[in-house]
Amino acid sequence: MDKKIGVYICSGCEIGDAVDLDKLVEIAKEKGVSLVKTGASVCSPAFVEEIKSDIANEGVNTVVIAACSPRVRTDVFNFPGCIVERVNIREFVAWVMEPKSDDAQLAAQDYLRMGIVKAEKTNLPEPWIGEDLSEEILVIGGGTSGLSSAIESSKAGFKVTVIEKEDKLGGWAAKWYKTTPTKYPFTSIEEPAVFQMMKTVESDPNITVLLNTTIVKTEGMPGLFDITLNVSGQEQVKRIGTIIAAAGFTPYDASKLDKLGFGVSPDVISNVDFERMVRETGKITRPSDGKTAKRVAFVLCAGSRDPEHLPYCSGYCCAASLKQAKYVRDINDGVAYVLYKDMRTPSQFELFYKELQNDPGILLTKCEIKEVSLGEDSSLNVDVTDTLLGDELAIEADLVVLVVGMVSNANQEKPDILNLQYRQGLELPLLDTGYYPDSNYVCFPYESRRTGIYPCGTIRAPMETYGSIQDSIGAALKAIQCIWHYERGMAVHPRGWEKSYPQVFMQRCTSCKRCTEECPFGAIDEDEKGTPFYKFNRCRRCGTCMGACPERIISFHDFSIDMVNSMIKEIEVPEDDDEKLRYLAFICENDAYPALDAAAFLKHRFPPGIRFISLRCAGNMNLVWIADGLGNGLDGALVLGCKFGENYQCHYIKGSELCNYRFGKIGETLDRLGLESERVEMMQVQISDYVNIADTLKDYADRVKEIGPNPFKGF
Amino acid sequence: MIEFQGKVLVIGGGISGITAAIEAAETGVEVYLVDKNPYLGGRVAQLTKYFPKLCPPTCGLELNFRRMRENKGVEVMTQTEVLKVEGSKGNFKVTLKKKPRFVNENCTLCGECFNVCPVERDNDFNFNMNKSKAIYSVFEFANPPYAVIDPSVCLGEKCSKCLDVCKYSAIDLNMKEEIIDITVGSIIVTTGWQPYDAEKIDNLKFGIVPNVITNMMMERLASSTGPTGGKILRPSDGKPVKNVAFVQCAGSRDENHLPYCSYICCMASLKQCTYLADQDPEVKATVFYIDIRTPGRYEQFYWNVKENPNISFVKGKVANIEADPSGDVWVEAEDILAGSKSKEKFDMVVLATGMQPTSANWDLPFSAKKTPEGFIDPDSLPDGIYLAGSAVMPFDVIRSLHSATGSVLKALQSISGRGN
Amino acid sequence: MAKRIVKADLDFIKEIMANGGDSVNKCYQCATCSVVCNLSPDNSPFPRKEMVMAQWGMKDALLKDADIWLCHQCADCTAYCPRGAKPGDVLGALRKITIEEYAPVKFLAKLVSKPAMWPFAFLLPVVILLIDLMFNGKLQYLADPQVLVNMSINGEPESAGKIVFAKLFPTVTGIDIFFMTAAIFAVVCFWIGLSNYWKALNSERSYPVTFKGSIIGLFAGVIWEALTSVRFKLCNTMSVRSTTHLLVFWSFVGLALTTATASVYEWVLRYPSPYPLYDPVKILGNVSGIALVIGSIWMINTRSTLKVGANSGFDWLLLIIVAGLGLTGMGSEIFRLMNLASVAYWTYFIHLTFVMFLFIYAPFFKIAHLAYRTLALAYTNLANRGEPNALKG
Repeated sequence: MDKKIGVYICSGCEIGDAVDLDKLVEIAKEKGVSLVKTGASVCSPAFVEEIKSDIANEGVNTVVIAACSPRVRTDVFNFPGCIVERVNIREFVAWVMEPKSDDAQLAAQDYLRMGIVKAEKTNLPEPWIGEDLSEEILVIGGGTSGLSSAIESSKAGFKVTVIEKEDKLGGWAAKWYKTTPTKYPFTSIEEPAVFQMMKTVESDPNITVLLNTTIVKTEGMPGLFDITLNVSGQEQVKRIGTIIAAAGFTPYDASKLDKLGFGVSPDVISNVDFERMVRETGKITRPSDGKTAKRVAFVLCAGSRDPEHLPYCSGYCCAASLKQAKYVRDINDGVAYVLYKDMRTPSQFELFYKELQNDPGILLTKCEIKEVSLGEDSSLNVDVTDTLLGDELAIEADLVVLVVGMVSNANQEKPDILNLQYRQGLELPLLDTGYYPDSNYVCFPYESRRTGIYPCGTIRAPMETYGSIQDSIGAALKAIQCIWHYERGMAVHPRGWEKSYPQVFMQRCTSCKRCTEECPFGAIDEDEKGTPFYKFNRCRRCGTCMGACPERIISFHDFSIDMVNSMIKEIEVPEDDDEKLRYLAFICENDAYPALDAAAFLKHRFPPGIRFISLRCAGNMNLVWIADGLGNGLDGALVLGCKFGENYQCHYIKGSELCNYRFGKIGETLDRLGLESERVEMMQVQISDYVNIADTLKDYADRVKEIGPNPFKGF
Repeated sequence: MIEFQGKVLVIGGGISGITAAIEAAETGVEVYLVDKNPYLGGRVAQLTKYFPKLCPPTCGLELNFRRMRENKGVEVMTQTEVLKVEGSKGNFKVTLKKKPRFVNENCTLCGECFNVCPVERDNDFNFNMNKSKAIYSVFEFANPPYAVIDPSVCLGEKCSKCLDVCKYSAIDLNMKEEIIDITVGSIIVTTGWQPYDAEKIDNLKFGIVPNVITNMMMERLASSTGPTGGKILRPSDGKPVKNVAFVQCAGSRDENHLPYCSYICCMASLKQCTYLADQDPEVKATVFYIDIRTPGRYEQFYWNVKENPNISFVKGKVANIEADPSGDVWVEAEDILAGSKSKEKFDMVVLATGMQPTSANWDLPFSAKKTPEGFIDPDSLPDGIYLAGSAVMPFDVIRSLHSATGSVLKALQSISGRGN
Repeated sequence: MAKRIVKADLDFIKEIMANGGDSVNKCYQCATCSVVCNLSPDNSPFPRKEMVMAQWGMKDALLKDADIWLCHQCADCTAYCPRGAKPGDVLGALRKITIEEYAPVKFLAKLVSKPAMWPFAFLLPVVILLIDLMFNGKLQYLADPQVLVNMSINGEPESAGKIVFAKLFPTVTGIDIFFMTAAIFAVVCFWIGLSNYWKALNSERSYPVTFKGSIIGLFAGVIWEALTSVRFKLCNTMSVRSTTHLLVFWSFVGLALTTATASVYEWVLRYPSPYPLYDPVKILGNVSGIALVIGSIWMINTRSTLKVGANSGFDWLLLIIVAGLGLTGMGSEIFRLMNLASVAYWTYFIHLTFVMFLFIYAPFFKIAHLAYRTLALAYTNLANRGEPNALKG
């Protein structure tokens, strides 16, 4: 596209007081821009009309606004069909530097030149839209979560295939006698909801159910998943749009719980076996002699909350045990001992606890289990300590139920759920903490690291029936939303608006595999030689591959290696002044950028020599920029990325961590250049660090000052 | 190509409402997002950190605001309440009342007006722990990023000092309340929660004994946008705290107050223990509890907090609090596992007050039943109206987002047979 | 730490529930009750532990738990209980069960135990009084007491034309013999019950007990506490009860003194009733009687409005007896002074029924708390857990 650039410079919000606008106009003209205008308030309706008129009458198609942060006034500077580049001379200059100083003026000039160059090198994106995209949803797992998401997707008009590895639908819930309540007033146990769901699914023409079915392999990408199914021994391939992984859980193996008496007697059973016995026989008896079990002890947290077994709480067991205690009362008119560590019936489930407490035959105490042993008359003794009664108790029981927790089916030795034919492994990656196939745990709970595949229900966290149903409806929405996006060539979360996608100049690819290894979403496959193959619908557009590529051959329509290099070249390096050092700072646009904006809003002072370049993610940072920058005489370089590690805050999960990893190698590069590696730093910044980010920057600048100016200046 | 037609109204601009709005907008439907406050973010905007990752809520909010900026499909209306809902699924006629902000979108938050405004108001965003001017910015990351005037204290045109200094013609003291009629196909209610009024728990002496604060006040004290700039100082004399008691189930699990468990308070107190430890590694904290409820992976958070030898846990609910003349606070409980009563002195006491549904005090504009505690009974809602977040029941953020995301699918089902 | 073998006695739980402690299972052990209770000691406080023991059906332990008598059912615990478990009511139920457990004549205990049995319970004093009348040859006058007015006692002419209750129930053969017998029966029953209880309290003692000072001093202290109502005054929620209880308690003391003085008049001074209204014994009797009426009605009123112990028939029976005693006692006198002979005699008959009821059932219903509480408080004082914090210097 032939570019006609218009530059509009604002003097409002103290910009005019801080910098000489006339000089900025000159700078823009020097860069070859003929249409340069200034305004007291560029965002005012009148001025915006003027810009629109320039677009209409002067043929301007690339608008450079030198004013405030691109985080504000986006709706005002919205010119469809035009490239809009925002040069932030308010937050990055006027509000953080000494007004009318050389420093402020030089900074504003640098930013304006960088902006113009960036605009010159930006292209409007042309989306990649695959052909023959499927709109069908595959649901893995025919339990409560799976069926619920299938039904809800169907209600929205989508075709769904449900695959179930067993020979009937229903999952665990269909093996339950009753379930904990799902509706107000949360006081009564209910028929498992899954039975109604099974009927609904059977009569829904939009839903295909495949029993005895597993996935042999999953290839392709959202919209174009080719899934090889093993249906009762027969293989078939199915084209699928998106996947809801509701593959559920496996109860924790009670045989590992010999400390709690498993194996002491056949009358020590798991809660799963107990539930199954009640469902199948309608009776509660002792496996050893078939006698009615009048006294049943429920040992909670059997394996859960235990560093030797499961380091988490399985969440559902407390309420489920109360439910089972109720069986003992209703069926056997017996006594149920509920032995808990903490009674965990959060939210409205407290009302269930409250209700069941009223039963005089349900005896509860907090305690620690000391021993479960065989007593006289083949009854069992449960010795407990730290009780509410102040004493140790010896409880005689006919049956001891070990209430075991949930283990995600994604967290098995061989999960065998998706069998993804991806470069980065067969299944959904788990969080560092082990259990969950999740990514953005708090804010964006559906974003798994495998695009278009949405885990829900007990595969990703221990949940009760109510929670599983809630979760699965949300997952269905995300699956549908994903279809909507790929049909328009748009990325999904977090850049749901993004139409640009990575373009690779394959002729220069050396098959080094950096991109295929580093992509946080496993979006890039490779062949035996290591040649990368992009699956664009898996790509989240973070640009980690662009940052990883040593050959500089990966770019977006609106962001490229060359573009940033050109921007860096626009930073004027004062050669004769040892005081005026220049630092290049790459900042994550999601967290570091708003933190800097907020610091600027508070009028904190930034080191005057710092020049920010915003990245999609710290993972987007390519070392070549730093090398080039320092090669050009800049005195230091900095990356402000998100926190990484266990509690990472990177919206692309691994971006900042990978950036840090690359930094581990920067020493070599700098050594080669003969520069001190201390000039270059990677910092973890969270958005709330705006309070002290100015100090952090100043400390950094001081450290570089101590090292002294870049010896390459002037070369 | 799939296409969803129709409009969705989201009532409540907290994290559930924002999520519902942007998730809906990202399926191509138009969304109105209304909130009675002059800012989006609801309760989470007041939080210093989220548990269990101890990350700032503004991080997620920022990304959601970015999504909304880029998507353009969400029309945000703050200071807006829903007066009336008529019609039915697919065609709800909704009457909105938008209160005047008195500041328009020209505002750049330059702050000149704050400097000249002669009147102060209690800063309700900070639970009245400090003052703001009558024209003020709610907090640094407030969205929309414009100042707002509190008409209950503003002196009006006879003062007009703010008008005189505003360079951007951003202030309009004549702005009037607007009644806006919109038509939508579906409505998602995410009215969320408010902290239970701690004064009602009379034996815990909130409002009577100095230095007894609520957990939400603690969030503001720890926040860099809060009244102390993030330093946890006790209110009576500004002393840095060295020994703090956390009183769990302050109002929750109590049929005299809130019969249900508020879900988040255990984790919130554990999280606040980390605030204290971050500020001063020597600080001591005692958590008085009935049951520590840290389901799922939260358990690991609990373990981590327990590893700190300065943080102790006492099973036994605090049932009496008394003032010490020094400003310290006496806290009495039975240490159940020790089998004896304990009466200890602390610098400050944090009441882990629970969630009361906002809907408890909301005159519903549509016909639906409320539970005795004021939650809207989802089964009683008219077709086309759905509930999400802690308006359903007390939820943490994650569960709120599950239900918010799910509610969007319900809304889509009700407004649009998807066109092909 | 002792190891306790759990023998969950579901019948015992049901018994507690049936006796006013129907809320016992609602407790979820937060221990609010132990803290809000101003009477609960620091070490091993009540009623939280009693609640869990009750939920676990630990009958043996609870039946020798003296702490239940430290509770004066102020209902502070009940007011603040987050679960509506009403620990105050549960402890009340436990006290009832304790009294019934240790009383020797189980049949009588059963009669007063359940409201459904009360009509039969009342039948017993009525029958005794009818036998009394028969024995004295006065039964026929009950149908038409008017006849008695013109009769004279022992041929003393000044008594003719007046309403004198001794004309129906002769002082010695009608009152003294029968009521003394009933009183002796009660004392014997109390003795057996209390000594059983004392043995139970001292078996497998939970708390170290040290005897110090004299037994008399010990009990005098406990009785003085009761007379001054010091513990009741520590109540918050039902602070009114320290007044009502004191009123009823002192009116009983007053009436006891009245009776004692009247006996002196009768036997020593040979000064037969009725006495003139200005006589000191009459004044004491009337003041006590009025106090009893006011106190008992006030108590009934606070019970009904505050819903404390509202489910406890045990408590209600005592209130009915006390109120009935006061009302019929005062009624007899008023009707006598109004010269309404029939009404006066019938009211007197009912009054004596209440008195007889009180005497024969005293060891079996709530009035027995006077004795059991005194004993248990003496025990807890010895165990050094009697004195509430608020009473310590």
